[in-house]
Order: sequence, then C-alpha cells, then structure tokens
Amino acid sequence: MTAPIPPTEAHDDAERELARILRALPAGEPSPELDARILRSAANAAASSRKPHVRWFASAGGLWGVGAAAAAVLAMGVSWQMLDPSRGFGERTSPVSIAQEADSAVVVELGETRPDAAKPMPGPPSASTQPPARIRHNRAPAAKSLAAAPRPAPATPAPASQPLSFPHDGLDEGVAQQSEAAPQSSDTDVASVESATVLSARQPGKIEAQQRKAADSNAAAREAAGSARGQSADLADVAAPSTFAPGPMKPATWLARVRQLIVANRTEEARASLKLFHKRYPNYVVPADLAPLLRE
Amino acid sequence: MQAELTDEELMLAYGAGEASAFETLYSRHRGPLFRFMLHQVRDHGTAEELYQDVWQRVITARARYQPDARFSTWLFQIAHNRLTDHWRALQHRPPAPADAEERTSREADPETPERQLSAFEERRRLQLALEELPADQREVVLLRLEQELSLEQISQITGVGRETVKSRLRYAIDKLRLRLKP
Repeated sequence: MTAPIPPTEAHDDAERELARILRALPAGEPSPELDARILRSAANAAASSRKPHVRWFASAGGLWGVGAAAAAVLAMGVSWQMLDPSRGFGERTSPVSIAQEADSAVVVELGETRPDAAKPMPGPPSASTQPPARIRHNRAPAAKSLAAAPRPAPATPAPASQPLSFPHDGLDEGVAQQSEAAPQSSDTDVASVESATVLSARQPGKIEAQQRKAADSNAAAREAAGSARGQSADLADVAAPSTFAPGPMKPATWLARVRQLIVANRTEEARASLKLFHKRYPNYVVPADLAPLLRE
Repeated sequence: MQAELTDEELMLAYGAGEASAFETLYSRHRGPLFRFMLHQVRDHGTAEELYQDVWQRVITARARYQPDARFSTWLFQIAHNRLTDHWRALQHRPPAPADAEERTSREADPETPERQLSAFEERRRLQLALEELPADQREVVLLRLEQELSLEQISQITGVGRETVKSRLRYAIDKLRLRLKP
C-alpha cells in the first residue's frame, strides 16, 4: 500500500537484521474511520484553498475590468478636452491644432454673422470662444434647458449695434460667463446661452456659482459694456492694438478677431492686431491664412 | 498518473488545491508514519491521536510547503515535533508498559543452549528492547531501521547534529542486538 521511500544510506548487516525483525512486528494501522476523517479534512481544506484561488482570479479580472474602464474613461476625457479649446486644454496642445480649431470656429461663426454684418455683433466673447460646431451640436438639449432656465429680463434694450466687447477678452472663462448672464438680444444671445448650458451640463456647480456671481456683477458688466460702446461703436475701436493689449486673451480668440477684421475690410487694423499678436506670442505658429498678412 | 509523481510534486499539487494528490500522498506514508508513532507511544489510541495531528499539520501547512527537503523528512519532522510535545506534556519519558518487568522476567534465559528462539520470540524481544530504549534513541533507531532514512535526514528531523544521531543510533543498535543475542 505504501510506496517505499528510496533509501539514501543502505543498512549495514546489523541494521538489516534488526530491520527485518522490526518489519515482522505486528503492523499497526490507523483505523478506516481515522483514514476517512483525515482524507475528508484534507479535501475540505483543498476546497477552501481553491476558493481564494478563484477569488484571486476573479478579483484580478475585476481589476483588469476596472482598469480598462478607467483607461477608456480617461481616453474619452482627454479626447473631449482636446476637442474643446474653450477649456484651455488647447493651449497645452500643439499650436497647429489650436490654429485649426480657431479656423473652424471662425468659419462657422462668420458664416452666421456675415450676412448681416451691420446687425449687432453677437456680443459676449465667451460665445465666440466657444466652438460653434459644438454649440450647434448641442443645440437641441440646450434649447430644452434654455426653456427651462429662467432668463434674466433685459434691463436695458439691446443696442442697435453692439461692438465686440473686447475688454472682456482678457477675462477668464468665469468672467466671460458673467457677461453671458448680462441681458442680451435674444437672437444673438442664443449661442452664448447655449454655450453656458453646455458648460453647465459639464460643471453644473461651477456654472451655477458663476451665474450667481454674474447676477451680482451684472451691473458692473453692463457698465463695462456700455463704456466700451461709448468709446467706440464699430470695429475700428476693437481693432486697435491697445484693446488687445490688456488681459491674457487666448490666441485662438485673438486670431478669430483678426479674421473678423479682415472680413470687415479692416485690413490695416487686422495686420496691426496680428503683428501685436505675433509679438505677444512669438512661438505661436500663425495660421496659413493669416501668415501673408503678417508678411505684407 | 499521480503515482509517477514524487512526494514533493504531490504535496505541491495538494497545496494548489488538488485533493486527489493528498490521497496518493497519504496512501504512500500512512503505514510507515503510523507504525512510527505506534512504536513510539506504544498505545494505539494515543498513536492514532498523534498520527491525526501530524496529518492535520501537513494539511494546515500545505500552502507554505517548500520542497527544500524530501517530503518524508518533512513529514517525520512534524511527527517528531508532535512527539516532543507529547513527551513534554507527559513531563517524563514514556513509561514502559505495566507488565514490562514481568514479561522480561518470563523471558527465557538466552544463555540456555537448549533455547531455540522462535521468530515470535525474536519479535517479542525486539519489541521489549525498543520499549526500554530512551525515547531519543528509539526515535533514531526507528527512523533508521523502519523508514530507512539517512543520518542526515534524521539529523534534520530531530534537530540534532549528525554525530549525535550517529551516536544515538549506535547505542540503540548495540542494546537491541544485546537483547536479541541468544
């Protein structure tokens, strides 16, 4: 029944004789009940030791699953950030990509504003800093939240010709949201409200806080806008380099303004603005469509 | 297929959760281990109790088992430790059977030339001689004669030096031979 253990040291004669007699002694054996008890205990232990093994694999699989899901979420987040220059992430990407985003944004934006250039320009700079393509994409849900969200009643009538409020360009996104809260023309304000809605969908708490702040500083914003309107009512004023100088305007926004000046046949102002831009951002690759203007 | 596996491979397989590996391992060492325990304690019930404890320790230590030595060495090392605990609990060396003196006195005088030792008598004398041995000598001689372990392995099992094992074995062998001498 038992397999002999291979000897590693052979018995000498005396040991061999004693071993022969010893093996002839009545062989005691454990009872079958004891055998069964031990084997049952061993089987139970093996079964219990197999469970952690399975659990380990399961948990490892679970970790892999969680890791894969986290990686997917991270990838989606990064790609979402890269597609949204208004988040400022574009500043961390290559200048070429920024220029491409700015280009596409301006094309769409100008497509909206070109037919009625005499009409009031869609005021808040934050609206123009938002990628219009994204705004259009989110138009339907934005309209819903627009209907649901209480809109502030216009305290003052919309100006007949509202200049680009470039003084706001130097503000950060939060301040831009304040200007969104300021009363605007309902038609031209849709994009800005929609962009606010998009932002609020992403950062509801932040946007609500900003909107509260905007309500508080509404008068100040209007006053600033009125001051800007009072100083100049057309693009000539906004094209002045001095208006670009204050504040850290985003390159994409700046270039969009330059393009608007070109569209408005304000080539000299556009060139001056672009030169100032180039001076401010010497390492920024000027988009191909604006580069000739810089060389002239 | 498992019969072809070594004891060490079987123990590793059992540590990984294969219960059938333990069954094979148990069948290989069941007899030798029990006889070793029985010869040590000379009581079937106590031998069964200690024997079960030894296997239970094997089961408990299955995940920690490392095949640094032969499985049999490891197994008998556990048995040795269990026996040491047993002797310590008794606070003295294992007593000889109650009728040991009587049985010894009834032994035929080996000096009598007419005396022909039967095989039965031979076994009985050996049994008595084993019982009279000190525990440490008995353990060594049983490991050597019954399990055919080397001095090195016995040294590992008992935790004493090889020379000590050799000395104990020599004393034990001499006593046993003296008892068996016609």
